This record gives sequence, C-alpha cells and structure tokens, in this order.
Amino acid sequence: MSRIRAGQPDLSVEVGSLQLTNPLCSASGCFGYGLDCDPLLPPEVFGGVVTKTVTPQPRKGNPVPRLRETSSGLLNSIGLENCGLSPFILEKIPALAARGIKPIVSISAGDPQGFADMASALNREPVAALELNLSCPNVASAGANFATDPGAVVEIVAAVKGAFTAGPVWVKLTPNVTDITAIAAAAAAGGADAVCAINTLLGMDIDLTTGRSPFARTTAGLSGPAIMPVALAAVYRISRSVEIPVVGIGGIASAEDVLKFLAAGASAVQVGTIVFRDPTLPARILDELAAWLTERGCDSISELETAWR
Amino acid sequence: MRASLTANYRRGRVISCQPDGDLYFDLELSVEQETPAQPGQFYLVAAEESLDESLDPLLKRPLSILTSTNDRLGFLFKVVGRGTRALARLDEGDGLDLLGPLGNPFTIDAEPQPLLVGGGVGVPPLIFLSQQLSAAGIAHRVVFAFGTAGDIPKWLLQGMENKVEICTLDGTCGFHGNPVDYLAAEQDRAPARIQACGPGGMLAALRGLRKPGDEIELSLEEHMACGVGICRGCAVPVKDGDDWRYATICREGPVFPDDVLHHGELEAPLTGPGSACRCGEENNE
Repeated sequence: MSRIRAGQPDLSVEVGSLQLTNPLCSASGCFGYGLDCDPLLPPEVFGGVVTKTVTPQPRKGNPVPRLRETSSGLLNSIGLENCGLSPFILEKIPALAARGIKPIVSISAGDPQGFADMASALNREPVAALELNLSCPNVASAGANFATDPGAVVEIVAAVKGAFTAGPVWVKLTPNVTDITAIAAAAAAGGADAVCAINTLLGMDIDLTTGRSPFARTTAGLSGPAIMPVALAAVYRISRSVEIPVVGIGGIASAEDVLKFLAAGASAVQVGTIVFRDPTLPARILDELAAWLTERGCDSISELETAWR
Repeated sequence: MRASLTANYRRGRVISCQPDGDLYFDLELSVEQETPAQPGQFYLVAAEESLDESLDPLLKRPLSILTSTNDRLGFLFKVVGRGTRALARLDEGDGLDLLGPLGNPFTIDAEPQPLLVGGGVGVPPLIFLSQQLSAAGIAHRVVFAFGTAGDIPKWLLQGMENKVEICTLDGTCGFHGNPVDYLAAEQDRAPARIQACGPGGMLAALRGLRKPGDEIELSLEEHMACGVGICRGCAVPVKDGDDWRYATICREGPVFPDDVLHHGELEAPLTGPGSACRCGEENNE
C-alpha cells in the first residue's frame, strides 16, 4: 500500500529490480509472518515484509530463557522456532496475498539442496523475494556454519538462484566474521541480487546465581540500538566493495537512523528489535522521514541520495 | 485461547508513585482513554524519555494490572532491575509509554468457588480479581503469602484485612509458612477454582494439592520483549494433540488452565532457574 500522499515526498526506493513503496522493511524474526501484530502494526506500513525464517520442517525452538535485555540491546536465543515450509505456503502466504502483500520470505535449511528445494517450492508462490538466512547463530545444525564460509555461501546462493526465478534473492550476512566484505563478495559471486547486513552479533550473559550463561545454547544473538554503529560500518564497507545493493539492518529506531544507513550506502533498511519496544514506531519513522525530506526541499529519497553524493 | 490484539498504544501521566511496604511501589496513572481491563491482564510500561533519548532501558516492562477504572490505571511492582528502578523514580506528572491491556484474564465464575493464592509480587492481579469477584457477588477465599510482615503493602491491610488469609515465611504475620503448606493442612477443603500467581515453586507445588473437582488457573511469567507474540521470547510448553508446542505467555496467557500446560520431562517451565513465574514483576533483566 502506497503511503504517497499529495504534497508528500516520494519515499519509494529500489533494491535492484525490486520496487518498495518506502525504504522500511520488517526484519525477519521480528514481525512474525506479517499479520501477527495486526491491527496494531499492519504489514501495509512496511515497504517490504520480511517474514520470520522458515525451515523445511517445523521447529519448536529453544527452551526458556530466550531473552535477556542488555544496555540498549537485546540478546535472543529463540532457536528458529517456525511452522515449517508447508504450513507457511498453505496458510501464511495466502493470508498475506489476501491483503495484497507479496512477502520477502526468509528461509534456512541444513544444506544447499535443502535451500534449493525450499526455493523451488516458493518459486510457484506469490512472493516478492527470498532472503537467505545463512547466519542465525543460535542453532547448531541449521545455518550456523554456512554464513562464515565463503565457499558454502557461493554454493548455496547458486543453488537457490538455479531454483528461484520469481524474484530477487537476498543474502543476510552475519557480522561474526573477520571480513564481512569477503562474505558479501561470495554472495555476489553466487548470483545474489542483494545482501542484507547485519544479522545479530554473537553475545552472551552470565547468571551470577549459577556462574553460567542463562541460555541453553550458551551464546545468543545481540540486536537493538547498541549494535547500530557496527551495522553502519558494515553497510558502508560492503556497499563500496560489491556491485549489488545492500539492505541495512541493525538497531534502527528513528528516521535519522534510516537516513544514516541510506547515506552509508544502503538501498533500503529493516527494523526489528525496536518494534518490540513500540509497534507504532515504524509508521512514525516514515512520517518523520517524510518531514525530514520536506524540510530540506527534497521531493523523493532518490533526490536525497543525489544531494549527498 | 489466543487473545485478539485489541491493545492500544498510549501515553499516561503519573499521578503518584510511592513505596508501599518494604517490597512494593504503588504506581497510579491517568491515561488518555479508558480501555476496560480484566484481572490477569497486563500492560507494557516504560518511562517516556527512555525512548525519546537514551533507548535504555530499551524495552517496556510487563506489569500486571492492579486497578483499571475510567481514565485511571494502577500497578503494584517490585524493583528488581534497571527497568523497574527507572519506574520507581517517576514523579507526579511524568510521562509513560503504555501498551495494553494485553493477554488473557482469569475466569470469573462462582463454581467451583474461587480460591485465590498469591505469593509476593504475584499478589497484585489477584487483588484486582478479588475486587471483581466481590463486585459480581461471588464468594471466594484469598490466601496471600509474603516473606515477612514488612513486605505487606499497607493499603492491603487497610482494605482487605478481613478477607485475606495471610502467610509469612518468617511467621511475623498470620500463618508461619508458605501457602501450599497452609492449604495442605485442610483435609476437607471443598472443590475450588484455584487461581494463582506467584513464584514458580509455589505454582508447581499448588498442583500437588489438586483434589477431584478442582480447577487450576496459573498466571505465568517469563522474560518478555514485545508483549504481543511476535518475538517468541516468553515461551511456555503447552499440549498440542499428542505432541506439545511453545505458546507465548504474553499472547496465549499469562493465565493458563493448568490442563493445557505441558509438563513433560524436556521442560520445567515453572521451576527452572530464572523462570520464576511472577506477575507484576518486571522481568527483562
């Protein structure tokens, strides 16, 4: 649904061939399957709806505790809890389609063929794009190793590109590597249409009553405003090292944050953790973004980017 | 079981925030618009400036509702970390971000007779429930447990002293011991709807008191981020046919009939470290 109104700046952006009505997308795992927070946060607010990562089979997820708050951040160890691909295709996609929404579907599997099989099944569905979750650090068996191995990234992306022609393929990158631009280059070499940076940072906590981590899997993923400077640097470096577009993710909580990612080289952004704080924030960010552009005499986001460069 | 998401995001203003006994803070707010709330439901609450400026604490805190009348909301909470410490520092007129009311409430029904069992910070939603039961003319019992007499909030002593059966762990007021021991001594207790909120160990032990004809409703709590079911953080295992699945406490609870909870060997949701089920206590730290 377009948010363009008479006299309002045009917030639409392009991520490669994919047109988005505004630069704000939901981040996978932070917005369920797109309708879970409706009507408090309708999916139509977002320029792109990235759904919670689905795996070939359902996953129950990790035992509690799954969360710990940190200074301006959140550690999570959800464990890719999801309904599995078949219920996703049979129930979740049609529910979004009934609202006129083609989601950007986040997928994860245990091997390249698993990714390709999911991509093949989704190729027949009304989806806008795929986002490959190679980098969820919570799960020992699904995705943990691929994201840090350039060879595996090339292989998986190439397999998915061979099976999915309905839209672009985005690759979500982990920051838990020595050089994230090398992984971005691997994604591009495999044929990725865009990369998304960053997934959560590896973190942990200690419960002082036990002297051990509170999490069953010991480590967890850190998200939220605390990680934004890390994400911004990653986007900046990646956007100057690969030709494909970059989608910025990491702690975005305001229109100013969105603008910083766009200035650093992102074509669009995703918001996640801050939605937990305030589900009405995405709509307010867009209003503030429009006001910011208007104040500076910009009619569109593309104009803003021209002014910066 | 999943509640429809009718919660609203709104601003509130502090009317008063002061200590009540040695354990609690009593927070009374005015809100922009009235939304009827039921006992057992909760709000996510945060001081306004933490979003506008520091984003720290990042998340709202889940507080169970103590009172909800017209344009007023009341909470009773215990300081256990940074989030509730920030709330305890609020002054008259300060702004608050609120999301709610959230979650599913306790059952209000006369049969079997309600037996409310609250421990420590699990007490506030049961005060609200007791008031609603009384307003509906439903006879019920109330058993509250505290660590020591000094923890008891003074308005509770003023308003409900004739109704509440008090237990203290150190014996400084009422029965000397926990509410499970107190109730276990009643050999001829009539069938009851046990409606409980409190520490995980207390809730687990209450199950052992179950007699034929009893119904049990437990209000659970876990670390919570979104309050609306999308983050999947506050998970609790529930029965799912012959299998089980994780439900979210915020969206499918916080009040669960004990019969739907899955008590398999894999999970120990009511007794595990860090998973104390305490409504009214902030829990993100």
